[in-house]
Amino acid sequence: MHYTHVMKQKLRSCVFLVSAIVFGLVATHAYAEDAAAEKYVEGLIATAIQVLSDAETSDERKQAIFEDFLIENVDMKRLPAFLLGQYARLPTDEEKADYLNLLQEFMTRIYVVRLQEYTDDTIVITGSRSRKEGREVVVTGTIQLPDRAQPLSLDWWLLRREQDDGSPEFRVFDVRVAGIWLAQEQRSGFVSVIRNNQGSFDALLQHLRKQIDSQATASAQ
Amino acid sequence: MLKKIRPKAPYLCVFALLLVLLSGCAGKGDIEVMSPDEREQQIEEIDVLEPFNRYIFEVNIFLDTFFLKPVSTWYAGIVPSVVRKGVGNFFENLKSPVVLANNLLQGETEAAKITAQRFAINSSAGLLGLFDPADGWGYPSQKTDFGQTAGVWGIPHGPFLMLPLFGPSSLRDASGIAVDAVFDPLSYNIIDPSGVLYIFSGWRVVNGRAQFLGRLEDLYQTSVDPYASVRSLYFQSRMKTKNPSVDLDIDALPDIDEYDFSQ
Repeated sequence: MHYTHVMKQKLRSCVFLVSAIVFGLVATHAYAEDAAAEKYVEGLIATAIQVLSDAETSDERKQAIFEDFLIENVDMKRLPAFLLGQYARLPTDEEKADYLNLLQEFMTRIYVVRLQEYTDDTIVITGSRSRKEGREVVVTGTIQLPDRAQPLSLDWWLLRREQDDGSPEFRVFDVRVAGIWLAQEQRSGFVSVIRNNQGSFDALLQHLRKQIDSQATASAQ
Repeated sequence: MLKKIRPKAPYLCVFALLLVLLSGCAGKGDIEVMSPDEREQQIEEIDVLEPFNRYIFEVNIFLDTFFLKPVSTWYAGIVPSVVRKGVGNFFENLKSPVVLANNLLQGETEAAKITAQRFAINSSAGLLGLFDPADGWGYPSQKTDFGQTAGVWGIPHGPFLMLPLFGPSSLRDASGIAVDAVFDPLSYNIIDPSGVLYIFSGWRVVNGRAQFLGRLEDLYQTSVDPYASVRSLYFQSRMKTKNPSVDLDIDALPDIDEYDFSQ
């Protein structure tokens, strides 16, 4: 039963990393500490729905659009380092460049196709809380799945900075589904691969390439 | 009657012994409230059987691929999702004695009260648990298990274990499975001459797996090391279910390294 339980957690995690950002109908309850952050998350969901649910657009085109969407909205400055844990300062400049490119493709390939299966899920934003003097905001919400009686908790951890004109700019740092922080989970895999290969960063790059290739093959079939 | 429940006694003795052994390991800290860095280090330290655990992980994947998944696929093909959902509710309701016992053992009397009320409502108005009206009426699930009860009592996880069929666990939580079995009606299949409980146990597993058909492969596509991910998810999920009704504590989030990787 434990196996099933944790598998469920993982499966939900896989499915919702970006569906958290992407799908569903949004209703907002106004007791926000950071209304701008909530509005930002609403916008993310609406934009992603528009892109991914468009039947006229090919999968290849959706993937390209979605990659831009991820780059624009995920904190690609800090998240890649976070995913490496204690090995964040291990790669050379060349390896860092390779890693960033592979990570973007890895994230995009995984989620574009899969998320199109979840257009009926309803996401409700329930509020937000900030810390670090407002530089970090957690937007809280729920997602209702068709096969579950109770909705699952769904939270977005955002980083906020003021732009030159004083307006806030947000980036997604991590998403928490049913109590699971997804970037933290992914980080365990990255760190494990490097550690089990005697600290070789190249081993991680090879794993990423392999998975991208297998995903591409699966998509083509 | 007393004779009939005797098969549980050896399990309880083993559990008692394990608790004593694990008590001697206390002082490692609570892995469920550590920062990601500390947790990773701690998990690495307690996964002393990693090569063996990885082997069992592969065996579990094999069993799922060639047995559980095909059966669940067939099952999902002939049973509508609304029925599968009802069956899931039914089995969940059947585990209420396990939840109630652990609510009480953790000293959570309010949770125990809710669990008892849920069971009464769902068993009657919910048509033997097929529906879950209790949740909508303000009696949410208080799901817990004896592994968590042992955690509340201050017993550490001990070594991480990948169990055949059951999947990720720890010495503490695996031991708790034996205790939970005492309160789980379906675990009495070993004294059921008709074999009906075996069928129900199998049905529970297949019904649970059928909810996630086509998605288990996601595990391997979204992780560079599925074993490590499952291990991490296990401890994160235990953290969540330890305090199911408590909202996210944002002050407990780790500090983000300001290292800009893109430069």
